[in-house]
Amino acid sequence: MVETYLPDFLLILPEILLILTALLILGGGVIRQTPAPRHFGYMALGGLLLAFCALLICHKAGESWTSFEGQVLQNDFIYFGKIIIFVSAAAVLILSLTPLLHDQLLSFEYAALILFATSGMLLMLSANDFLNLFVALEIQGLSLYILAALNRDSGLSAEAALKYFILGAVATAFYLYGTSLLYGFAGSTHFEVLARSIHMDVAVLPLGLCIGLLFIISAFAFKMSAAPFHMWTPDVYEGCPTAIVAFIANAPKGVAALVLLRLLMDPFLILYPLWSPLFLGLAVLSMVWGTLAALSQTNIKRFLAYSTIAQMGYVCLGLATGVREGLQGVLVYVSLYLVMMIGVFGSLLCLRNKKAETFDSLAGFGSLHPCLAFFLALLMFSLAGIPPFAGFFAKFYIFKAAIAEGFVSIAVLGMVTSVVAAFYYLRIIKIMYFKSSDDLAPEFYGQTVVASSGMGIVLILCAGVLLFFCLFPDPFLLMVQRASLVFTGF
Amino acid sequence: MGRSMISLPLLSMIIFLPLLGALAILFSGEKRGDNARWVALWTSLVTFILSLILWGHYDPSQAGFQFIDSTPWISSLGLTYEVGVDGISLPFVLLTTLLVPLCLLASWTTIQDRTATYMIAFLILETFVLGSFTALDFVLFYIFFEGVLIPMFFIIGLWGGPNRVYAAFKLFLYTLLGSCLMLLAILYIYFEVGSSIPLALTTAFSPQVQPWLWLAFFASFAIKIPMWPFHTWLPDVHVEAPTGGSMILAGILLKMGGYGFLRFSLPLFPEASATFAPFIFALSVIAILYTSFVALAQTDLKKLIAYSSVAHMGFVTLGIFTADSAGLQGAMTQMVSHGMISAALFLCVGVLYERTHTRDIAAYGGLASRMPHFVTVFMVFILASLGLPGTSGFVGEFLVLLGTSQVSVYATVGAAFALVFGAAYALWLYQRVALGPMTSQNFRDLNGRELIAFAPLLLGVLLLGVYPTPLFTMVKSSLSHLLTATEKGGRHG
Repeated sequence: MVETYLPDFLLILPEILLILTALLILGGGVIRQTPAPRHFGYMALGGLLLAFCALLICHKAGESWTSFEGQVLQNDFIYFGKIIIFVSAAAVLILSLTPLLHDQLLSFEYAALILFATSGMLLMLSANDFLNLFVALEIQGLSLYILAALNRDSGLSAEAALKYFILGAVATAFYLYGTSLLYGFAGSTHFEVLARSIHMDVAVLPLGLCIGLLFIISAFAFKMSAAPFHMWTPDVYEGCPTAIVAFIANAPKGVAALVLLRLLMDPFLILYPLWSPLFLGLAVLSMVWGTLAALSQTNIKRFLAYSTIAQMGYVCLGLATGVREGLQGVLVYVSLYLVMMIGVFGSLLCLRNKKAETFDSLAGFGSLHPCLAFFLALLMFSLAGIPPFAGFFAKFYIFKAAIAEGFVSIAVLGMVTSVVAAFYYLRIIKIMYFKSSDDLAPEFYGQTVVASSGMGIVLILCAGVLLFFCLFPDPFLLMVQRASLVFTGF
Repeated sequence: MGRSMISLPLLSMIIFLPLLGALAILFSGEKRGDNARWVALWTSLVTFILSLILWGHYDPSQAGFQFIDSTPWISSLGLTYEVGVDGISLPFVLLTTLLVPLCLLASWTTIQDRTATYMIAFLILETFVLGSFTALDFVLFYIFFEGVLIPMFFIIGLWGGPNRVYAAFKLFLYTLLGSCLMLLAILYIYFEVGSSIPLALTTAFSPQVQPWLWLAFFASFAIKIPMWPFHTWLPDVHVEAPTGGSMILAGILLKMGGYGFLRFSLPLFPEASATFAPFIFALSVIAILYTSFVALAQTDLKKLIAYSSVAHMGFVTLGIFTADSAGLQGAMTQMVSHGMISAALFLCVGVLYERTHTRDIAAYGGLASRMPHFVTVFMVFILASLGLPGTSGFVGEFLVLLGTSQVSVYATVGAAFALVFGAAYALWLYQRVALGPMTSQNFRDLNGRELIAFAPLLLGVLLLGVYPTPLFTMVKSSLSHLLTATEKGGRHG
């Protein structure tokens, strides 16, 4: 018996390990009356590491295998996505411990919730069935809603969490309704059954299928915060503690994009003519709205929210192409974007000033802390897509696929918005370097930098990864290529 | 190919030596910058010497690229790191490596704040500029071309005048907009051809696509060079830039536009270039006439020279699109000559500004009695700027007009007519600054450092004026190769 079920469990071993660690942390937190929250953070980190090793060991390159009656799936693409999740979650966890400790927000719940959310994200990628995906989505979502409310004493944080929760619940409802329509169409929620039952040769596509797909896309567009489903993003970013935003803005965004990619390229590829225009629409709206709204922001986190929306527009453009190049573009874009966001939030988390959330608080940062400011400035150039930085290559990939698919006018629009976007990324550099701290209002004085050695290492690694990508991108691109070979429907 | 005796990747060494120097300064962590100055100066001097060696080993009888260094870079995208020089890029490489040490000398005492950062920015700028003149891969070219903006943004934004932030943003965003359109065209070519190396490009683009691609490249280069009516960023940026920044901007960065026209627009889209030539002629003649008038009315030294730059670049675009050997040679000569003259003129302004801290022309007068050396140098460059025979300015403008006369009588007459205005504003400027009643006692004459900075430019301008043969030999075969390619393409269509 054990022999027959062992492979099943091997596939979800990382998730199991994460949940076990999380339960251990919860138990430990309840039992110990004088908790040292930092240690729970270390435990969570250990759990992540253990699970990551399990993932690396259990994966068989080039092979696709399912378990639990085809309910969960593992292949090169999912492996790639899971690596991104682990890296991102671990990096954010290390970056967040010291700042949360300083704000007295670090508790054992935080460590456990991060692990739950991570395991939810891993399951989202593995899920091979809409109901499984739903469960995974909720594990992730609910953990994030609670995390958003971590700062119980702050009204802003509570408001943000409530908004996030209510709008998230609506998105979930969309998702469930879409799933039920798909079930009505195919008689199953399983991806493979669904893929087999979709044919384009019928004269009129079944309405249930189309609307079901539409609802599911909307739900994921919400998770990705692509316009017009982006409303929650600026408020949540602004209200939540920065350390939590760093998590929300990172892996969950990437996972939403990757799962969407998987759904589109696998069961729904045949419906390409249906969803491609939808994604073009999402891309245009996100690029234009995100860029224009970011122009007038004065709060860094709100600004980052809008810049995320604009960046997600490029991801949508890559998705809309529906070809292997576009798929690879999305993978490159998402991974580089996550690394850049780790860098940006890591830099912001090093700043210890209650007022540190407006642009003006960065004035004179260039002379105050040259290294960190320089790093942040390079990240801004990179986010703006200025060569020779990594962000340029990400955009390059997306635009290449878009032009190859003939979306020239949208590509022109994307270029123009990226020039406008360069304006606000440059604005941050301007404030850091060209504005001296003498121009500051008194409450901004004393912007101090507190960073643990762990944070320093993560930031250096982040810079190293970005630099390495510019000089020797081939190893990484090879991984992307292998991940993209999973999809064969083109 | 380069002579086999050179096994070192000489060209790559030239390109990346400044970057190495910048890294050395960065990691020495020195705050005050006394050593940074010397490290930067020596790095740029060694780069210059290396580029002279490159010139020495360059075989001008061959038209193709020489000293090619090639390494695969992003193999999954088919991108390679590939650099090389031919007769069109070599003069710019030499000009760049010559001007950078002079810019550093010009900034020797004026940059006291964050000196090390300034030197780093300048050296990185040199790497990017050299890279964009030598890149043989579209994407690599784009990366260098665009990368230039980053150090320039800091040079203007950190060490510029009171309105520096506005100027830095204007430069960055204006140029970025043009470049983005070029990137789209590059991506399209990449998609169409399946490789991004312009060397391998023999594909003739269909007449339907050519105009669009041409316009996309035009957007980038016309803003860079700049042509009327895309020139509005130039005066603003020059006024705010520090002396070294102005020198490199007028001396080198503007030439990147002209280089782009020569390297990409003309050979890749010969038909579109022929179609659009009258349009270019019109814009160029308007640029020459209009900016000469505008220059007459300026009260700010730097603005005046900035506008004169636009006029001179008008000659360059005129010469390039004649697609005539005299015109092309004239355009090349004019670019090299203007690179030295404008850098020298901005250096003159810098020298004056250092002493009086004003750029207002009215604040100056009667310098001749106080600063005899300066006034002499200034006179030579003013005369070269207005194209006096015996100076490099004459050679370039004369050849351009000669080439233009083969193609368009109106454009020739218009441009020749404008020469009179060019002489007018230049001489009037000289008269107001150097002659007349003395306005202040506060003028020291040139010191040794400034003289050293002026000397190579002075020498270059005069040498090129009386004996331009070395430059002509350098560019000749590459230009005639370019010309045959253009004509063949034109006939093919």
